[in-house]
Amino acid sequence: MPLSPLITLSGVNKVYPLKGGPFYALRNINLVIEPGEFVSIMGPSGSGKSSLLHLLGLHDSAWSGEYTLLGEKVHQLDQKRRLDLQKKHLGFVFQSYHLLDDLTIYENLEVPLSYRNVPRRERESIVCDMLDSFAMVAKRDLFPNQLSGGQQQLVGIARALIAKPSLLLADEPTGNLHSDQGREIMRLFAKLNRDGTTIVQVTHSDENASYGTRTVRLADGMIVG
Amino acid sequence: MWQDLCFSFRLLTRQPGFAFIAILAIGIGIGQATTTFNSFSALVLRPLPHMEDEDNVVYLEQVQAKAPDTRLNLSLPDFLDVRARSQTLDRPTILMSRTLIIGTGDRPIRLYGTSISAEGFAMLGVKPHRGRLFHPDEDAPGAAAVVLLSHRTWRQHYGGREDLVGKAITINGAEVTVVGIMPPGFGFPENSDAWMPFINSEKDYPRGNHSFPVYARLKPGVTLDAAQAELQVISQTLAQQYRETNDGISISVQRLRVATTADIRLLMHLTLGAVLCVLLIACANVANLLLAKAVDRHHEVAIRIALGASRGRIIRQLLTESLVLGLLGGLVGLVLAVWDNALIIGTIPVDLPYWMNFDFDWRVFAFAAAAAIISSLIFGLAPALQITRNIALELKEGGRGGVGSPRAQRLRQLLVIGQVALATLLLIGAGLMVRSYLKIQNADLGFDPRNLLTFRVGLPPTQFTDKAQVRRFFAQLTPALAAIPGVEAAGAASMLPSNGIGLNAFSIEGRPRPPTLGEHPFAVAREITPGYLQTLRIPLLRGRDISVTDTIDQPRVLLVDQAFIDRWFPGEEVLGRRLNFGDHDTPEDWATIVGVVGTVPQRLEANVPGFNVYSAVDQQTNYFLTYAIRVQGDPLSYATAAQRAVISVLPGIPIYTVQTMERSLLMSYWHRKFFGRVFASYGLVALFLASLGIYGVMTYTVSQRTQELGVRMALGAQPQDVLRLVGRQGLWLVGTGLGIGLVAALALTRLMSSFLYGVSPSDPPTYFVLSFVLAAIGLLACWLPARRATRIAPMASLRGS
Ligand SMILES: Nc1ncnc2c1ncn2[C@@H]1O[C@H](COP(=O)(O)OP(=O)(O)O)[C@@H](O)[C@H]1O
Ligand SMILES: [Mg+2]
Repeated sequence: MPLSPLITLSGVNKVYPLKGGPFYALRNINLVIEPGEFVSIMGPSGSGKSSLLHLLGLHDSAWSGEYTLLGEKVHQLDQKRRLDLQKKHLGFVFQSYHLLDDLTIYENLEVPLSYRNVPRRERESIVCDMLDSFAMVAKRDLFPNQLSGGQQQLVGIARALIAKPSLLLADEPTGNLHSDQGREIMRLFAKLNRDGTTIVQVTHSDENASYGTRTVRLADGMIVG
Repeated sequence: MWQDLCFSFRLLTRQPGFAFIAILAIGIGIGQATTTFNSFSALVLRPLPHMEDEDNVVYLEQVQAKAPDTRLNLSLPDFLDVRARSQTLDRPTILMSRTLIIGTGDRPIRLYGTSISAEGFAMLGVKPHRGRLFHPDEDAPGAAAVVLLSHRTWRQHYGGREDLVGKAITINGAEVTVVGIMPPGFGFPENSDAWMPFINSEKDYPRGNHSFPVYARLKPGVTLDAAQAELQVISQTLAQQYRETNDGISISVQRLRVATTADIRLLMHLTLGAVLCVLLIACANVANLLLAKAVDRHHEVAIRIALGASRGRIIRQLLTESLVLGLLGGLVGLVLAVWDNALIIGTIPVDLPYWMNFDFDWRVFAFAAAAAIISSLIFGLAPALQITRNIALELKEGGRGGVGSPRAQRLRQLLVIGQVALATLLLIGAGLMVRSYLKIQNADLGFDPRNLLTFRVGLPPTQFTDKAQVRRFFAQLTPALAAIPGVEAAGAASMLPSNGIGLNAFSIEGRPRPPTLGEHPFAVAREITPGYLQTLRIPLLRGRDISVTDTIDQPRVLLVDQAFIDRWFPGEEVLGRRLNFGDHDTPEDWATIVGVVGTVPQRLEANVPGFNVYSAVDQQTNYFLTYAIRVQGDPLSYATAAQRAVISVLPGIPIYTVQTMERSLLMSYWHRKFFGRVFASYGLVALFLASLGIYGVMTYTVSQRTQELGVRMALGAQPQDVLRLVGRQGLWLVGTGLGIGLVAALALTRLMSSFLYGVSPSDPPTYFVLSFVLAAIGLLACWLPARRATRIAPMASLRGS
């Protein structure tokens, strides 16, 4: 039996009801992503990349069309089931990291686990392993604003991975970083992808896209190639 | 949960300014509420000490059909009839306060004594500390004299001697055996020092004399209603049997607790209501602060949701934060309450009854904790719901945030309007109380209360059976007191003005005598010594004063005041008219009006006019009188000289209740001062918290509009234009709140009308002045942030965008 696709979007629209009338941020999107892919979404600013990614990440529920994620028909699920699905399978990396400023690095990594009811003992070992593999053990008790941007994004990625998602979504993960730091992140993504994590990232840079296996181009809310 | 707690604490330490204000606001609110609750608890909730099953102890009063609001004590004959006939009441018990004198010669001591039916204490369920209670037959006429001492008297005057029980001590010149010591802190009914059996032959008291408190216990299985029904029947029988005295009089029964707190119940409820308003205002403040933070928190919450938190989970976290704030506020509140409580109790000028205990007990701690938790919910819930609303798109880079901030802002404005309204209500309530107090303080008393020392002195009738000796004593004492260097005048009356409210029925010569007491004309009758009028400076308007020649062998004379004339002899000449205050038609009972004096309001409290009638002590025989002496300098410094003068006339006689006239007056209205102060403190705190709320919201509004205002100024708007722009919004908030508050005040202050003196619940000056003050302070709280807005450098705000 062939592996079913990880993601199937068909006829998806995202409309913002604006004063001047409905505004289509995404228009009739059809997209299939197989497990193990590393997809880069590219396109000019305002073309709908973030809208698409957050839709994939189940942060948004105000859209129409059909979205199947790991065999589950998202468009038929209620909010609670979507949240469960998100918790179980998705990790998200933000352009501006979005770490919780009032929590230490350790605690930031712990947060997703606490929402997944992982017992305290286990949490500790998982977080420590993660810190270890990101070589950040020494920083565990620092607060986010005591780290450089690159380091913060590493924490953001570690946090996205900590609950072992099968799909990692990243919205311009290197957009706020120097190119050296950006390259490091991309190498990390490539490695994660080799190790089995499916990745969808939004990027402006061809170089970043070259780490991936496929590029999807958006313009004016439509897929153009 | 633990994590949420830790995070909450960390958040607070990270925002010390916010934490400080929020905890302080809640602390003040809970502190005031806790103090008030403690008083409420002391009066209403705590069991009466030393008493068994207090719910079944009842208090009997008599009510006239004509004046259902005036509650009378029972008369002795009525009590005896109730005791003989009632099947529902267990051991009805009668009380009478008495002066007991111990000590002799130049060191006499007066004890506050109480006569009580022999079975009274057994009925109440009190156990003696040492010795025994009275035997049931010890109130029979001719029984050997026995006394029970209070624990305090035992310690203070008898050194706590273990062998005192069974020994005889001298009371009022007679040997009395101490049979027991009552438990520490017991002073039934209020602060009694010693108790003796109420001898049933003490029945020199007619049916018209309603001066005896009566207690009883409901027999097992008897309800209050059943007892009331039975008393109704007994009252009716008595009314038929003794038409003249008992017509239209019924006996009512209430639970002891209800009866003792009847006067203050309404005030207590008003106070509780007011303090809850303060707490609500404080909650609104904190809710407002939390809403102002909602924008920041929105972002954090969005991240958490993206990381897998459910809305419920987030709300739980936010509520935990509120709870931490609330509990810290509760702690601060408790500390404030301890302090506040001591302060408040310290200002009560009267001796509190033995059963009122204002120390904190578990009820108070439970209340503070409950108040903290409930407040947390009140101030935490709306912001929590607000923060977790519409978070979906918050994190999208470059997208427009979906924060519902106009809605949050509207909620904040509503909160401020509510605060202003509540503060207005409280301030007006406080204003009315304070104004009542000031009015009563400056009321025309009809006499000059300054530089007067007052005290009570007398000869116990059980010891001094020779009435002539009693009259001689007072006849000699008055000049002896007047002769003290520095004393300008001295005189005495059976009761001072605004103490005692006994109304006496009389008949008028030449007019038919009404068949029942209730239909008689009435007045307040006092016996006075010569010199009383000069001492108090009550003006003699016509006729003559009472003089030393008005003795027992001379025709009876009377003075009346102008109010009396206006009431009973309008437009008639009164000098020479004859009145009869006695029960009989004998010549001795008829007295002639010889003088007219200035009106002295009878009871400042209820603003009852005088109807005063004065007769001569020397023609009546009073065993006890209250003296007033007018002195130069500090009245209290004459106390020892006064006591010495008394001893020089008759050794072994103490003076007591020694105080200045001003203080004696204060006794009758101190609670106004007290509650006025309490309410004023509520009002001020409410005002402060509300202005803080206005200030917060306006500051936030201005910060939101910085860019807009910058643009306007860059385009040529003048500072006053900006002020007007921002001020208009503030004005709207303050004005709306004020309007709602005024309407609420008009509706609600009616509740306190029975407590007001000389001002109506809709007293225009109070409303105008306080509205003005509130508006001024509210606008100041708007003006500060608005002025800051005018200082925005246009360029800076534009570049910042
Ligand atoms: N909350 C919103 N309300 C209205 N329009 C929005 C909102 N968020 C984004 N848009 C619009 O939708 C379009 C797509 O935005 P976005 O997905 O953020 O594009 P990208 O990430 O490609 O720059 C843009 O034109 C943007 O202005
Ligand atoms: Mg984008």
